[in-house]
Amino acid sequence: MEQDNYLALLPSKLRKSFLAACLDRNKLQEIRLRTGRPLTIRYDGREYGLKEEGVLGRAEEGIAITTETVNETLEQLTGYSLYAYDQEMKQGFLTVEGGHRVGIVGKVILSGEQIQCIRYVSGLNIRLSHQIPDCARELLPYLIQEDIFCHTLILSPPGGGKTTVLRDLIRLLANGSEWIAGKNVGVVDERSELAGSYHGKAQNDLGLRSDVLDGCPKAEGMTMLLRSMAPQIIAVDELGSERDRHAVKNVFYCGCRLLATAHGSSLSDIRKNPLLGDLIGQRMFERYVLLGNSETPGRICRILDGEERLLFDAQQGRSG
Amino acid sequence: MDLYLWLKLGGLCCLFFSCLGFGMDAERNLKLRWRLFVEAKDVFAILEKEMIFHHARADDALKLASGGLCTCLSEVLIEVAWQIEHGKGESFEQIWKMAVKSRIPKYLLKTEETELLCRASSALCCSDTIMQKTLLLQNQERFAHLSDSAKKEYQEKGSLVRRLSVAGGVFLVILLL
Repeated sequence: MEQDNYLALLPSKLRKSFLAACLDRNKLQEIRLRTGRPLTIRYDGREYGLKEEGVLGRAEEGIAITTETVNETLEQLTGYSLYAYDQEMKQGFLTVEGGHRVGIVGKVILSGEQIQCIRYVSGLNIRLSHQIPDCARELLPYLIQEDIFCHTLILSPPGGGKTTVLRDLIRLLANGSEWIAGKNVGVVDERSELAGSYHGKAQNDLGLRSDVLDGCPKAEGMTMLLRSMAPQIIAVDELGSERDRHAVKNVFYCGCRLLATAHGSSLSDIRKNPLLGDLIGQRMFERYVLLGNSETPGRICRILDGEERLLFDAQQGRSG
Repeated sequence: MDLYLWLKLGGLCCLFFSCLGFGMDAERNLKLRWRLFVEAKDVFAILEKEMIFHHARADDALKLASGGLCTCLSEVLIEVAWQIEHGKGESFEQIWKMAVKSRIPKYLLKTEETELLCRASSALCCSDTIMQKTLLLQNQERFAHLSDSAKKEYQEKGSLVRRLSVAGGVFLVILLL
């Protein structure tokens, strides 16, 4: 499936309405289906309801979603292979062909204290993956010091465009640019969101010199890449689990550079995370990039250096 | 006069062989039914392995399972796999049902057996792997049971049908002579 063919993710009932709406794929950010409630979409930063005839309206005017529609959408999203997403569904989301992420809610079935599965799915949030070439180009010069890429942490609340910016940074670093020569970038793509790999083939462009470890847990993936692929930069999405601690320190101490993202709207937010708090406290990161919220995904708000001094502020322009 | 005799003889031969043909066809259908249930049981065993243990995608698993089959069940699996890849987004239940009804000749299975095969879709597209494994095993058992019955039916009725058709043919020939 091509990245643009998001319609193939939807069941025939919804496909017709989306086709009739002739939406700009690049502006369509998210599709929400909730049983018994109207279908809503986030389009160009705003929420709309999509009517059956393909017209955008107020949220409450959207197509009424039934349990069957939700189930059919889930079947369609997984290529009728729900069982293949068993492990991911236990975490409440799955990444489907094309690198799109789908959040799932419903009745959680427990086996002891472990989640066995989610049955009676009542809601889906399809977050469409976007590849926006050069969206990180203006950010790149701030992340390079004396021809060396700085250890960088990109922060934003959910839906802020971290993954899109990270993906473009990987591409720019792997291809090389006027600011820095091309580097070997090892990518640990735990949720198949960065490369959007399908049957082992990356569907997003991550550049010439990128090596993608698809579907591998971050901690193991970083160690494997260090041992096997001699990366100059290691890129990971959504860092913060305690499991990653050892591997992250390995990356810092072996001469490799780390490019990572984390959930949070400010440094004080992520200080509360034990791993990230420690890393910030020890001044391991040399650059912090703070992105906007879901209203303005991918917009760079501020860039700080390792000492937390302001290098760039969107409202003031470059300061340092 | 000679021509009349020859024509009569030819007509009787045709009658006899058509009776024999009917009998052999009925016997062949009984054998095909048995074969179809055996293959259905094997298919669910392969699908259990591919889906539950290897986590293969449904279309890949179905294509793999269709290899080596010699009944119309392989056409059902290939059709479903194609619909998964290129379909218009219908539910799996619909896709499976349509494929079963269009690819399996009506004379081969009884209505309840066709319904049973249609209901097997729930075992192939399920979000709970434990439940799916149970359903796949249940289908294997069901089709194993059906294949045993069909085998018995074939052994009991197959030769009987053939012999009856020969006897019927001979009877008609004698009657017309």
